[in-house]
Amino acid sequence: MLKAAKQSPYKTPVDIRWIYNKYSAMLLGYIQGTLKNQHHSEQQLVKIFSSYMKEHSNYGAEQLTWLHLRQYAQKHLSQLHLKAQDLEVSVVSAPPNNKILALLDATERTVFSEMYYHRKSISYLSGILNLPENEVRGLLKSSLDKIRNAHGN
Amino acid sequence: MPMEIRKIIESGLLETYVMGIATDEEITQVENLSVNFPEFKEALTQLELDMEFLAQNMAVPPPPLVYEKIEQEINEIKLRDQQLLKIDKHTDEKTYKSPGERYIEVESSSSHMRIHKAWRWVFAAVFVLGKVFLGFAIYYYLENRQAQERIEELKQEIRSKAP
Repeated sequence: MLKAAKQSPYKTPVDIRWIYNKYSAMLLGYIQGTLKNQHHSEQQLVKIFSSYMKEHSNYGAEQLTWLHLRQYAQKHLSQLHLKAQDLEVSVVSAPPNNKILALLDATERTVFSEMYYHRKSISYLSGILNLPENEVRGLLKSSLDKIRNAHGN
Repeated sequence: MPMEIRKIIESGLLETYVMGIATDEEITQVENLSVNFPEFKEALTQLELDMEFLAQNMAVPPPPLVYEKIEQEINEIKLRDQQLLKIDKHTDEKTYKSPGERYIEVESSSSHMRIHKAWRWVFAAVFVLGKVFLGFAIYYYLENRQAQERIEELKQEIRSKAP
């Protein structure tokens, strides 16, 4: 992914304030969903955003997409020593406050959350949830289809 | 849309990719397909937008002053990098000044040696000075021998005049 971004032919100078205004709330929401701690999440927001902007200072604004930033944050957070309870996988998860995640059933929500927030692989979840890998892949696809439908596509 | 591309899209490869859990092989496959098939690229872009929509839905506005902290952090990182760069440069200069560390000892098979051209003036000066000192040495040797002979003559003269 990084390779593809580097090869992009166009490049507009990056305005850090503009990127911040566009993505900071989304990034904090993502970090908070992973760490479940407001204060710690705000600290990580500062760290992740600063290092991301510093490391990608030669990138054009078109290359700094939400997907790129989120995957960077995902890698950063996966390197932190998270507490054991944050890493537990539980199928019985409480219905979320978010109306889009509320569209997913419990298993879909578990698969989606563990992949989205904790970067758990299909094979890992297959073992933990005692489901064939294809079924886990199907659950991921169905949960993203539901999100897509909520977006109106 | 070609059937094969449709099948790949429906296989869940794109979903794995946007979730950040794709293997290196899958990442390469997605990158190649995006370049070669506009339909695939479009499906990927659409999924990215859907993920952005989800993130906007779960966004938490950061408290005030976070941006100032980020600016400060970025400046600190830049300053740290500049200092590290200076230290590296300084170390390089030191290495250059230290001949023991700078040059690798190599045993040469040639019996000749090459030296800087400036040394020829030194050698010329040493040669000329050598000639001058030799001239003085010969002059004073002859002078001294003449003086000894004169003293000897005077001694004989005195002896002959003595009663």
